[in-house]
Amino acid sequence: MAFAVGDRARVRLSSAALSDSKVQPQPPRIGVVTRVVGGPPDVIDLVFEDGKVLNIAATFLDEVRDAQAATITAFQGRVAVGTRASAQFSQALRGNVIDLYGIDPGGAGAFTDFVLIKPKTGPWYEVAATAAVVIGDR
Amino acid sequence: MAVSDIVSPRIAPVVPSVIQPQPTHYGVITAEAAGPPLTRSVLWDTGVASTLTADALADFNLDVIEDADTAVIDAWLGKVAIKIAPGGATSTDSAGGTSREFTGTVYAVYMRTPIQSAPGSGNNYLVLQIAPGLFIEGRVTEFALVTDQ
Repeated sequence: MAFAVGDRARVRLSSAALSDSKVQPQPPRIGVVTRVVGGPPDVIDLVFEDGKVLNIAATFLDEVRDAQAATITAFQGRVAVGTRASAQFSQALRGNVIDLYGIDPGGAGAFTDFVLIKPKTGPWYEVAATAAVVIGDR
Repeated sequence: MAVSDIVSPRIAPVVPSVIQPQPTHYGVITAEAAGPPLTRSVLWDTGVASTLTADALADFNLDVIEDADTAVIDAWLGKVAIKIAPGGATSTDSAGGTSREFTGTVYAVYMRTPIQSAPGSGNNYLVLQIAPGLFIEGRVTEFALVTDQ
């Protein structure tokens, strides 16, 4: 699915060599597409939430869209934590679910839902919705 | 190293690391040219796009960010850790006496490979944040897990 004006996007920080590990920008930054010049590759004008403006090939952006309804229902307004190898992260990483979104690297058309979590005194971190669990008593 | 690789400047010395970017930043290589001089265009996580120049590949002082070993990610991601004192761990203190105020949560684990080196030949790194909000990045071997947290 190609980018369109009004779509949300962010810098693509995954690669063929970086697909299991993740880098976690502090804080994460998302922008909105203001112009698309057809390619290939399409060239995107993007304005970030802090006002920075970017002109870049779509290849180097992730498309950001609404998460699926089931993800929103499960996580919005809840406290959650990430998991790895079937174990929850440390309690210190339990935090408020700030954002829910679907990510499509490069705008190719395959989205994965992610949960952005912010512990009270911890870092911003994003995990796939399938790797996050709601903390039931909070 | 190729276009679309993820990179990060090598700001902190290897060991002992006493310089800590707050926080560490990452970018994606969007273009390269042989020059001379060599150039690499990078789009950073801050939304800034810049072009770096160097006379040799190693001179960029960039590390390519790759997947850490799976076992390393499993062992460290989401855990609580503390940096080991320069004198090393002791039998009674795995952190060798490092102040417990440096205990933090590990939120990223990856491999840093110097841009001039072969893919997959780097070292495993972790990034943690301690309670006052400070970020600490270092080689996995420089840290000890804090259990039961």
